Amino acid sequence: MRLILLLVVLFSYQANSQTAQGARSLGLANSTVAAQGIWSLNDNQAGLANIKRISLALDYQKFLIGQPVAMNGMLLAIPYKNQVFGLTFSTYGFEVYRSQKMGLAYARNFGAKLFTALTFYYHSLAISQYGNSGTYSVDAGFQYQLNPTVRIASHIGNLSNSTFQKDNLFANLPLKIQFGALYQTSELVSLSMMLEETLAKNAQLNLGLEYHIAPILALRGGVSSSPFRQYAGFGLAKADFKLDLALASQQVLGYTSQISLAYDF
Amino acid sequence: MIFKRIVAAILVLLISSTVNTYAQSDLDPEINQIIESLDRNSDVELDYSELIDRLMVYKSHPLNLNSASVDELKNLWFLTPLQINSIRSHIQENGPFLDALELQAVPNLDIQSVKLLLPFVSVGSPKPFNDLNFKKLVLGHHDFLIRYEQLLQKQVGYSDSESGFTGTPQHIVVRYRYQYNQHLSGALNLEKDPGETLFRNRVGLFDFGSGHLFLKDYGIFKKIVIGDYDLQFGQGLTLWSGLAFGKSALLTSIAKSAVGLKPYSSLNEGLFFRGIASTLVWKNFQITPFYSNRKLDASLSANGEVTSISTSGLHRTPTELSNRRNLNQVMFGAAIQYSMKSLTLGITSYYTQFSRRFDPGLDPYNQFDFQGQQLTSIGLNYQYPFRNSYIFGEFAKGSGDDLASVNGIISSLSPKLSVALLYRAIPANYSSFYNSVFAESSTGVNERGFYSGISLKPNSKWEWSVYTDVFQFPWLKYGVDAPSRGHELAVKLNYKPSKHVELIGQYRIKYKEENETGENTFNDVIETKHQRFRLDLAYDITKDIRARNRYELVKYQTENAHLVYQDISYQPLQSRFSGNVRFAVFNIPSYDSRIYAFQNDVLFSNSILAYQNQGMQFYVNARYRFTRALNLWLHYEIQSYANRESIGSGTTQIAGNKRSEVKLQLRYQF
Repeated sequence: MRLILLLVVLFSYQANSQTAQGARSLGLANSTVAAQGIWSLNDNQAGLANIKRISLALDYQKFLIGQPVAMNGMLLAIPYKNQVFGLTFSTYGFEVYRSQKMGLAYARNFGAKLFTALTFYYHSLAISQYGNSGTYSVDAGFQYQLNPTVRIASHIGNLSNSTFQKDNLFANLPLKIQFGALYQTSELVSLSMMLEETLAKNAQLNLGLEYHIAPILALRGGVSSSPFRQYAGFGLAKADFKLDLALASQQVLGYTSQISLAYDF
Repeated sequence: MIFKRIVAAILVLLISSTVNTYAQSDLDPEINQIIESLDRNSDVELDYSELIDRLMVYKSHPLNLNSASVDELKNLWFLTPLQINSIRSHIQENGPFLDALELQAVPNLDIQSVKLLLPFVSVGSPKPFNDLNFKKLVLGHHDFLIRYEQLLQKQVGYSDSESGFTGTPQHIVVRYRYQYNQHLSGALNLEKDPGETLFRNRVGLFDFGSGHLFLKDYGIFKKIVIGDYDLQFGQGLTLWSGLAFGKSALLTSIAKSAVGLKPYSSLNEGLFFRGIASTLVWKNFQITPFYSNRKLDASLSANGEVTSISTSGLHRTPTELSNRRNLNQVMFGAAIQYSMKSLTLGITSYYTQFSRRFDPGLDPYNQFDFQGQQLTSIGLNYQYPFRNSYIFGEFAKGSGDDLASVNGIISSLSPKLSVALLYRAIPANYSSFYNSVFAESSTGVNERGFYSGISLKPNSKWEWSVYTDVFQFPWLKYGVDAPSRGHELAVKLNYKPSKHVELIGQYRIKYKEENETGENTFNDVIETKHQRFRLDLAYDITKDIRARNRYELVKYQTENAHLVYQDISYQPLQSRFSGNVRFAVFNIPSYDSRIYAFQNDVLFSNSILAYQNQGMQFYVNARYRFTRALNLWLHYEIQSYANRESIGSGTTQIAGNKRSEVKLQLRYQF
């Protein structure tokens, strides 16, 4: 029954926007439009602009435990002076529905106050018995450090409003506009929030809380308004490695789990 | 020696001039503000006088921060357990407070909480002063209050001689308090509800009487109560009688602060025990044995079995009178509490025996309700303040039931941010007549839910809190013919730019499943959406005049309801006269979209009213102080409805579209 529900969800008019944002982002209810680091590469790419070292990250997400749908992602960021180049490759789906995404991002920071980015993606989608198709899309975003504790951000996904269209296969890629902020309430606690508007869908408000209970351990929790979901996760940071785990729950459908690993060279 | 006598005499003079300060703070804005912030939504008219009373006692006899015990601090029930623990830790680590303003240095006590707390605490002289206080007083302190209320229109029940009200429309309340010294006190409450008779073939003039004798700190006995009392232990899962509060944007309401044995002096006719109870202290143990033998009002089925218990206390009609005190309940047991360094463990166990069998009925939703004549309940509770967190919980089980549990944590992650989490799982077959759990449904039974909330105070002007609650009901409920689920999201923002202005905005959205209404052979369970938006503005017009505005919008499915009101209060410091008025306009299409609001009233009579239908409301309260010992209150209220020929239904129906009420109250203290 759940599988049928899942397929209905997947085959709907709009192709899915599952992006490898990392388990840290999932633990914070994906409200990380104002966050910075390697995971911004699939989120708000402007967050890449503050990276100082070459970073590599891997991501794996299992949707609705018990179902075959999964996502894999690989991310690489290379800084050069005030600029950062990002490269990402991810796949999503299962046997009958497969989508792949490749991205190239260019981010730049201006005086550590303003961060901007422009990203090009190539998407391909293959649905069994419907054929396959490919398309390009563009993302743009910026972040601004208002004061030492607050950073605001804005991001547009699929600026070009690209779609898949070939023979029998027709699907839209979602066009998203996101506004958000990150508030560092104290050294150990930060609050992130994001308002997201997707074309032809309800606006969504996401809230995330991160607490560094110890230097190596961070606890996370979040909630999103529509669809109403709750999120929890934690992260371990040791040497140059960062390991994150997260769980998202939806009242009727169940749990989604994600694990990601990042390494700074 | 003579010098000491002179000092003593001067002190007595000073004391006796301040002893009758009970009367000073009645329409007390600070206390009113605290009661209102409880945000309680209930259909039952509750008596908050006990809560108000407690705060007023501390207002006139502030609690000494340095010598107050945990139980005494718990009496300031708006303090969270985390805050109480922080105050005591502060004293342990830094020594006694030199000034009450030092409270600002206590972690977990933000500016707002300190401001709320200051009127009730002091950093006083050491205990011997208090002993002097009471020993030299004239024998005891008496507090006598009488209140008269009446609805000016005639309710249908008074015209119906067969099944209507048997009594007169006056509502009369008599309250008496006696304080002999710091060890002995007593109280007596009498009430005649409107519709009840004063003269009948029974013992006593009034329909409801309640009283107690309270001994405090008598050697090994910390408390002894003979008469009416309340018991509150743990998180309210096993045994909790008296008022308690559920969900609100106040994170403090998550963890309950149980005070154990408490003498009862309210007018709520159902929520107490009658008998004898005491609390003994021995080393790290606190043992509270109790015994109660009460008569309750029960509706009976054809073969004399109990179908439901009534706690309204109304005995007006022949049916209500026939149900009056027709069920005997005997209850006894004990609660043992053990305190280690920070961890407190408690076990509560009691046995209840009824004189009649309970037979809830054959409806599917009743399947797990209590049946039989006796009930054994046992529970285990714990509280553990740990660094910046407070962990608490309770497990309970009735004989034959599954295990019920409530567990939670309140954490102060930073001076500005607090988080609260609570998980409750109470099976449908859990039976308890005296429990009060943090839950979505009123009893908490047949519910599983997870609550998470955060509260952010970036500076002294702003406060922002958000919470979500996800819940499910594993079995059927009344009005819901299938297991159901729901969730709730709420946001609250407080802005206080100065001492004189405060703005509060709240938004809440709740999804719940209910039976579809309509003439169908099969009613499906559908999801209903309930939204509430409220804006409050409070500001000082002058030093003595304060105004408060509220704008509230409720949207239930497609129905829109709104309430707007303007309050103005006049509280001059030195005057004999003070008062307040309200003017409200409301438009509420149905019972589902009803709006609750706090009502200012004569002292101890404050209530929360559910506005319905379309119309306006005006009320005025006035207090006149003849002397410090003698006070008079007056309340006049009129509600005028549009497009209606009658108000209410059943025996309380009134003809016409106006409803007006008058109250008169006199208090004498000596």
